[in-house]
Amino acid sequence: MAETSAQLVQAARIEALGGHHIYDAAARMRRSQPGDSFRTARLLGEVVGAWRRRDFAPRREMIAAIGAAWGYSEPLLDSSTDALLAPFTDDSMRAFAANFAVNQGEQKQHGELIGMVMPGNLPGAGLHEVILGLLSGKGLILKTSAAEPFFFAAFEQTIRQFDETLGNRMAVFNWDRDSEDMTAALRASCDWLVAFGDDETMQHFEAEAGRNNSGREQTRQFRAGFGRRFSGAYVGKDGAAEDDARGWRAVIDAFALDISLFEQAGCLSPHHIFVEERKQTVGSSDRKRSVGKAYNFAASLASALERIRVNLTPPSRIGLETAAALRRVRESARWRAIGGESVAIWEGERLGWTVIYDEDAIFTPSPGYRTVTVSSVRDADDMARCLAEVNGRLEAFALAGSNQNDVRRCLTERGASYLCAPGKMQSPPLTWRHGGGQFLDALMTIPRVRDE
Amino acid sequence: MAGSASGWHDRKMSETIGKAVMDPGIQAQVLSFIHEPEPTRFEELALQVFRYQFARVAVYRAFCMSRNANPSTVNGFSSIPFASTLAFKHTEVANDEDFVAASALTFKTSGTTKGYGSRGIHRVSDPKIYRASAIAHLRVMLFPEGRRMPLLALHPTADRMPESSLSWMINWCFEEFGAASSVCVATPQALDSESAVTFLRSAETGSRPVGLMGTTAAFARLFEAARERPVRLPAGSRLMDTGGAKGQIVPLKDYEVRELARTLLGIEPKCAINEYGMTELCSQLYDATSFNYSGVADGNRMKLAPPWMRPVALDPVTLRHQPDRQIGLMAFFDFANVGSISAIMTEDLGYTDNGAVAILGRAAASDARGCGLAIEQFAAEAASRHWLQE
Repeated sequence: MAETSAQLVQAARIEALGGHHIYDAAARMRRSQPGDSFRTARLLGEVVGAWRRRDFAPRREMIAAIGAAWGYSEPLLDSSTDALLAPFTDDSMRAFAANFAVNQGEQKQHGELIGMVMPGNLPGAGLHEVILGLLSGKGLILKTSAAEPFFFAAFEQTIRQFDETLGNRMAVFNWDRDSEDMTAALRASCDWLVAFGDDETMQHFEAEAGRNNSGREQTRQFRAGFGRRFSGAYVGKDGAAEDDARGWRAVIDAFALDISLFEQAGCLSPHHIFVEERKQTVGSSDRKRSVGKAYNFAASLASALERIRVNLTPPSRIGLETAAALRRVRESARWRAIGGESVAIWEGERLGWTVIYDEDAIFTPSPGYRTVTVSSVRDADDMARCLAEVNGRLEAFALAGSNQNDVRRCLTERGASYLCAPGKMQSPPLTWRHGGGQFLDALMTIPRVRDE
Repeated sequence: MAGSASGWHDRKMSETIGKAVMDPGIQAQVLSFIHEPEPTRFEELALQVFRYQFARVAVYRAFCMSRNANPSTVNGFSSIPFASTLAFKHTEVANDEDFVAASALTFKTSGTTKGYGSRGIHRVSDPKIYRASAIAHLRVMLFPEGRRMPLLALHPTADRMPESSLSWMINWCFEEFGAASSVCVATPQALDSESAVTFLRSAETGSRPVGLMGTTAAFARLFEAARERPVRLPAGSRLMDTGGAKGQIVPLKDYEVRELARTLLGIEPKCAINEYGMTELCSQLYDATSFNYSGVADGNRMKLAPPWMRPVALDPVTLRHQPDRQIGLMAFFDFANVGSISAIMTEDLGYTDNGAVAILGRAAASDARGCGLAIEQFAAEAASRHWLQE
């Protein structure tokens, strides 16, 4: 009988009551062979193919569970899940698997175990790392978040149903963060750890690695951390022309989708959109006055977010602290506008979405829930000035327009790992160097044979 | 299109709209209400104040119109739009009525910890209303027995820090409730802990209760100074602290203030009264304890506003009034703000309960502000100077 997501979560939680369950899972994985990477790619293709179907029962149950837990609407979760799964095509997984097609003699060296502490900010976050880990022949032990225990429990169950051998290379547990003995068991069982979370979580893991390990082992134990990162967008001069109604609307709608998916909760969700436009000099002063493109872009984006809201309805509830943060953002913009600054605000009902035009704003982190700032820049150098506060912490940028080599260079120099067209921000390729590439680099290194 | 733009275009539009009928005696009505509150008249007078401020305060009018609110559409208290405290930071909240007194005061918030570049400003054109409100409620909540006593101020008086609303409150307290031996031991740059301790030791030898007033940060420094040799102040001594965690690296919690006041100063916990106030509001709230309010248990502290101030918890999503015991963004309709904006929404979360208020703390990560910064900035600066001298 198919198990519901809630039942799977409960099973994962019951299993995680003792560290010996983690040790047992690790021992089981070490006894199994990593298998042929192309076979793994084919099987994962079938699994993802099933999950792509919106009527696939485990997907429906997972979405219903998250919707109930978080208040997110199911249409929003469906569109977000579609974007999440989009990069994992048969071709892309096969191409990645080719990196790990090794001969029989080397196969045993690839039987490493990776412990993964998964994030809770959106369902399926970390899926890239999970799939890449499996494609590379690794065994995976996942600790899911208390906030989001559903997705990977259900995904692992699907893998197991399609192929038990592949399923045996993955185990999913859920335990409280306070259960340090469980985390210790995870660390002791695995060859290295990957952790997702905020900066505080990263500091915790790095400190733990420093306390418990030394020298060679410290490098082995904690290989990759994904702390807080920021994403944005850039609209070049020719990226969206107001006199090209269809093109303008297409770009705007794509941005609105990027902003709305996952309620803007992930590292790939754009916080700030820079619109390139010429700024005029007035008289002898260097006061800049916008010619209006950025303002008009913001107004159009507001219309697009309102259109999207109809089908991808905003959450039925927002946490108190988050609502207060959103309210503060709105009131700050509102009163700055009343005070005569070059600021304007458009608002959806019930904090559903917010667009703030702030002519000269530097990169402004968003509290989420479809809240975005639009500002005006002259060129890539001007944008670089605006990115100073988030230098080194960029993740993704959507670019609209052509001839943007300067912009691309500027962004990659500041750590951006994924540059794409509008509408594609939630679907980076398998080769995405998430968080700067620490995980990919660790994965691609041929490991030394483990000491017995 | 659902959702509308509010920008500089709307501000210009609002300035061309004709003003509502003015009520020239509104200040007198408010003053009368403060002196002789009539709870049943509150909402009626609130609507009058709203109409007056819509007519006379341009930025409030612009705000109301952005919410499609005006005197013809606002027919009840629950539909009066509440303006965020951010209004005072980003706009000039000015009343264009021609009655500005020579004694008008301008108060400034302490701004951000990074400096004073973005301080809010509250112009109080008629300080006598502010004074009347402050004194009337202090009389009930801090000086209920109605007798003068020596006061020790741990925050600068108004001559030393004229832009601080707390400084003016201290001045007025000295005038109304202070004995001749009252003293202020603080300047904007320094807290004279030694003089404070001298005052306390002198009070210890007598039988007359004393009153202490200052920010929580200042009290933290006083407690440090008294730690080596605690004081036992006469029975009935009381303290008022305000500002909370602002300006403190390791903030004292309210129960810690009460405990330290008891162990280091000999002040009973029921007489350690925390004040909730801000530059943007002319009225203040105080802890209700068995010291100042009969029938209340001292265990679970709630704060009381004066009768001319109504607290409301607003749902941050809809801005509708929450029922009692539902947490929201705390807002207050303060008649004493008649010269500026009376309907003020703070950034603090809290709830109401049968007229009392529980303040739970600042909702969103925001810069610390308030009077406490004066002392802490001194401490940081002094430490820095000391290091340089070594």
